[in-house]
Amino acid sequence: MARSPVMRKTITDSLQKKPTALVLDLSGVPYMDSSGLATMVEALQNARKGQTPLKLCGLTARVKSILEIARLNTVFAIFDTREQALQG
Amino acid sequence: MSEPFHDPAIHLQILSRPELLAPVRALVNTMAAHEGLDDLAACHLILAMDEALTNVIRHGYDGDPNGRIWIAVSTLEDGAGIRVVIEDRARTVDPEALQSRDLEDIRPGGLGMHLMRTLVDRFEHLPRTDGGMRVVLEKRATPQTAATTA
Repeated sequence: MARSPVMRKTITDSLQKKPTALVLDLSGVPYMDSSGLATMVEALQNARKGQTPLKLCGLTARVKSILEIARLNTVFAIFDTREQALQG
Repeated sequence: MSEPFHDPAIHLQILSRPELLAPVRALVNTMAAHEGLDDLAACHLILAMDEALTNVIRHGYDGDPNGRIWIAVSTLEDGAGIRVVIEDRARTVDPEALQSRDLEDIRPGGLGMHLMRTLVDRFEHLPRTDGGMRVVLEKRATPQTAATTA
């Protein structure tokens, strides 16, 4: 909850640069609450509006589990590594 | 595993401020590990607790940073898990009015109640008789985890 605004701004700023794809490496994210999930979904919606593929990689077991419980694991393009995300 | 904590092990009073949630999470995470919950079970308990506390801060106290929240953490009576009880003196909320969004309707927000109900083995959300709400969350160690840590 406390860090979601920072995450939201970082993603928004990145999408405004209109990259060919945006890869979110979550390997340094040990935990995510519903505020973080909401930020991710919002990012996905904004990415789709700009036709920018949004990809996730480096999910910890905890974050992966939370995405699965929220049934968001099938909504996002998820890759094991940053290299795979960049190639996928 | 060392001697279980006595019941209740931890009583906390915090102000209704989001920046105070991280130390509470760390404390409960440490206790959950001590009591034999595996990493994912501990994560699920902490997330459910986090959602409950966030609800109190956002909806119960409407963002007022000076509301009081009481948190009690204890070992279950059979020693096979953790109970977290959260109480507040915020406005009373009808638990039936709190509904999660349809999980197929992909949009930001609306997941808190779904997460709390799904992540723990027991979830109760009830009005307190003298005002405010009480949330009870229980998470059990899996048999495999208990056997490993016994």
